[in-house]
Amino acid sequence: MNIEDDRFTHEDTANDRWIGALIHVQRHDTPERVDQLVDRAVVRLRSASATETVRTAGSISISGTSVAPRTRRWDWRAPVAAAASIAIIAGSALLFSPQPASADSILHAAQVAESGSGDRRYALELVFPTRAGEADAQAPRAVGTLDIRDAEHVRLDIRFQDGRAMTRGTDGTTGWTVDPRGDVLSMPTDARWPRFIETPEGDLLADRLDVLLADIGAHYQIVRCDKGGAMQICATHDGSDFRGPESIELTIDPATKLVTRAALNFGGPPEGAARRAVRAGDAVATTGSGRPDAITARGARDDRPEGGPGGPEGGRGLAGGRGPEGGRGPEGERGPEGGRGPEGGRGPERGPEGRRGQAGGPGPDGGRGTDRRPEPRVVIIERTAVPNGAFDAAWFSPPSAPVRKAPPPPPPSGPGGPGGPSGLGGRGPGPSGGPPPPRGDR
Amino acid sequence: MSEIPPNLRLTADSGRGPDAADVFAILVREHGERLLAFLRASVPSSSVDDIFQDTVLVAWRRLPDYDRTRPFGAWMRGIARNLVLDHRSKMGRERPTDDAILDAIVRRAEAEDRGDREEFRAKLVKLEDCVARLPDEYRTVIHLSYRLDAPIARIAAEVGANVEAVKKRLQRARAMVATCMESKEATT
Repeated sequence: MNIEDDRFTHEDTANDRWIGALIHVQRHDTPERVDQLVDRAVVRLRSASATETVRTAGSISISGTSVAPRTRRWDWRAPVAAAASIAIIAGSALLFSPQPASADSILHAAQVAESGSGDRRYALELVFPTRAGEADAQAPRAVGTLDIRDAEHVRLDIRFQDGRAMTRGTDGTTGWTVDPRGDVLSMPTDARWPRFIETPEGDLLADRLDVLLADIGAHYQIVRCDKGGAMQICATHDGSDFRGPESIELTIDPATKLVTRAALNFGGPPEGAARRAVRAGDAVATTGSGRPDAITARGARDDRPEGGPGGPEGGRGLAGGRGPEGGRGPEGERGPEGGRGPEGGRGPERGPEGRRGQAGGPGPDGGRGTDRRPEPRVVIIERTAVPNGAFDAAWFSPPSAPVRKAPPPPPPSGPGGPGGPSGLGGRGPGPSGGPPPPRGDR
Repeated sequence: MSEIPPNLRLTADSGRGPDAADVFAILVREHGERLLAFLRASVPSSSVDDIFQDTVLVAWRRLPDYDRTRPFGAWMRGIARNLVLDHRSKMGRERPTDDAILDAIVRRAEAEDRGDREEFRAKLVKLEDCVARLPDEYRTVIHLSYRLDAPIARIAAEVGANVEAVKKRLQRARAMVATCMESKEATT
């Protein structure tokens, strides 16, 4: 083979790869996805700019230059110094500004501040729609905590009003959950988290508040709405296709610019729309009226195991959320517990306790479709103190050796229709579909 | 022609008004799909997003060195190329692309620098049309491989052929798409 032949071969290979790449881009890299990738990169470069002077170990050198590693991969210990400097930088930008800080500049400063890492605890509160005749104060709620060290060390504890609890965690090596009997079950470390703590991009919301803030900057109209001396930003969805809450209220620490509280309001059906609903811990197949689903208002994903009955159509998110797959629910734990039961056959009515049954038979859990409580209308995430300043080394590890694997998720089925992968957040009337199998953590 | 306003300060954001990062983001968006195409042709899919992010970050840091008389897309691609080489060296024996092929991909990508994002998108629409016109047996493997991301072995089982036959069929399908694209380009 002479040089010309060789060159031709390379060109041929390059052309072949190029066409393949174009097909891939055409199929997967939608303008929306590209914009998201860029948005996230910009968040990081802004963070990198702010931390330029406090670059810590862990930088990577590439072709004579260096770039800070992506935030998710930061060593959780390193950014402590960075966080302090970020606060100084961000705070100075506001303190020395000749004009009162605008909502934009505060949001930007918060983005920078939230791009750090380290042990964090967030108190979670989920507020569900009231039933007919109930006052707002009677709205069912669920509360819990989300503890995060980094993307690999996460622990979630949720308590529902009816006494059920959900505990899940991962220490980067072992994913785990606790079933209703108290048995510790292992699960993949990359199993999906409940929807209400994820961003539309699939990150943990509280782990990547900077990403949420970037989304707010891009898709919401924001104004300062300080209350009682607290620095606050009120964000209203701009009506674009972004799938997110109708409105968001952020409370920001004036000194550190960290978000201390985020209240995400999904609107929700009129009071009483959730009649016959069961309990706060149940979800959410609504009538597909166009509400966003949970915090991210996304359509269901194929990997969600707890696929509910779904409806013929996924409920459109507030801003035109995905269509056919059926919406997502609020507290729907993706993971081992999910899955429409193989038994099929939806119970025509919910059982006396409305409990998701171990028995898995029709009845107790049956309340799919219109019988289910809609997703939370408000999700509140509040930063709270970490006990003793840092979590114990074993906090994210399983409390005891897992006794068995959590049930694997069922294979995805087609979108919509009976048994579609709509998950707990399934929308639409859900004309059929069986109860889920025993939920590993309920 | 420069794509960056000459009076733009290429420094960290001041927090007020459109800043360098905003303009930079606009430019990156403009070239985002083309950059992704280059990366998808050069590295495994699993690495594309990471290298894309790194490219943006490195480009941001080197923005003051950017020669504004040069095409921004080509400059970004040059950074991406270095990152691909860096990535490749880490992959050791599994390196997916040798130098000559990578250079050829760069040359192929340069041909796409003409026109803006919309034109590139329009080209992708033409490509979709070309895929749709493929004979069934070729369209099926393209669908399975690129839309469903099915591994070759699974495609082989699906279509009842061996792995090598599927690879060949994919290659032929891409060649047919390329020919179709060229004919479309020629008629427009």
